[in-house]
Amino acid sequence: MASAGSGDEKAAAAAMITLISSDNEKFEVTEATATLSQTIRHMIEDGCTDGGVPLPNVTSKILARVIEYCKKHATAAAGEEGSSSSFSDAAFLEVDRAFLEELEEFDDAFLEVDRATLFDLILAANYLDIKGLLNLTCQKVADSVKGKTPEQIREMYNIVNDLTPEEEAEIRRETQWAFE
Amino acid sequence: MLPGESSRTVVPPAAGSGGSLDALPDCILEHIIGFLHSPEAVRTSVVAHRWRHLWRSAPSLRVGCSGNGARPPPINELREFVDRQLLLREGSPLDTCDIRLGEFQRHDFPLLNSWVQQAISCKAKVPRLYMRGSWYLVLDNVPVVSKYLTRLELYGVSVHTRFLDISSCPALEYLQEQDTSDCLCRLSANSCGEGVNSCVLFNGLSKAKSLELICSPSHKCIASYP
Repeated sequence: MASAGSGDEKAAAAAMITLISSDNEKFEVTEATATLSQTIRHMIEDGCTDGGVPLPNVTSKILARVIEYCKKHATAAAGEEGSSSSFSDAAFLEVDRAFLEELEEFDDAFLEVDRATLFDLILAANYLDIKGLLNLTCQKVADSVKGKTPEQIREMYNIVNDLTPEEEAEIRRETQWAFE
Repeated sequence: MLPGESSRTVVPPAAGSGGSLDALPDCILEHIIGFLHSPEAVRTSVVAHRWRHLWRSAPSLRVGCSGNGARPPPINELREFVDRQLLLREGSPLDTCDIRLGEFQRHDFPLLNSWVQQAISCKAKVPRLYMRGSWYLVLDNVPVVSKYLTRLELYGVSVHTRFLDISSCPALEYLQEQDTSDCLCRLSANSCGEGVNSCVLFNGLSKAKSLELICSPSHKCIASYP
């Protein structure tokens, strides 16, 4: 909260970072939100965020979604730190549980996107090194191929089978223990 | 360091993914494959040429966790499988190593211990051992040494009358032992009260954020934080 604490704390709370998308849209975010990205965290540490951080390969549509995720999860991280000293308090645990449930609901709703958006979110999460978002989105793709045969995976994602029948047989022989 | 320069982060293609899985870089496909449990992960090798070796570098290895709450398979079904998987990775780094086993015998202890050591030597950050046999797996009396280990979860293992020496794991933040034998619990009670052991166990936990010791209702468990 900007009204509490020393002057230094005020400065830290007010620190804003500007992120610039590929289509030149500017997004102002708090440092707490931005530093969920390890990539941006390193840039802040190196003092190279003045004048904004250009993200030439992230569109404003995707960046807006990424920021939405970071804002929500930055609040969660702050809440976790704040409550750790009173972990034995049942009331706090209750609040934590409710918040975790809310976070899970947020994540589920967040993933309700088309395939192209999902893949672009994965690319952005990887580029910006946001571990939670990368895991969330990759898990979604993994869930979609779970229990599918290689043929079904190819069909589902329009992957061309460029293996000759001989090559496929050879790979199956090499890893026979996984196909039994 | 500029975006995209770290070893596993890649600058996205300017046109985005276009909704094509093929547009994702190898490191991301490996990450996705890491969420599949083991036989499925390896079977992706025949999807296409590019996929042939991806599973070998997947950052997670999940064995025996079908995810539907079923009892994990006995070691007889997994022995060759886990052995080959760990071997064929050729030491490529692991984040998570989740091994869940059902029935095993005493003569399997050395093999199981060698899996634990191999997982640690693959720089695993989060090894998770979940043993549901009629035995407790007795861990070898060797210290766990890893600068990468951040989270260690053990279910159904025992260190017998000794203690688990994790003093050489400076990055360890979380240790959970559940359904362990009475020895491990008694040991923790001892180690809190009696000098030397206490130092060894808790030196390794100097950065610990939480410590959970959960034992079966039939065993008395005393845990205290110094």
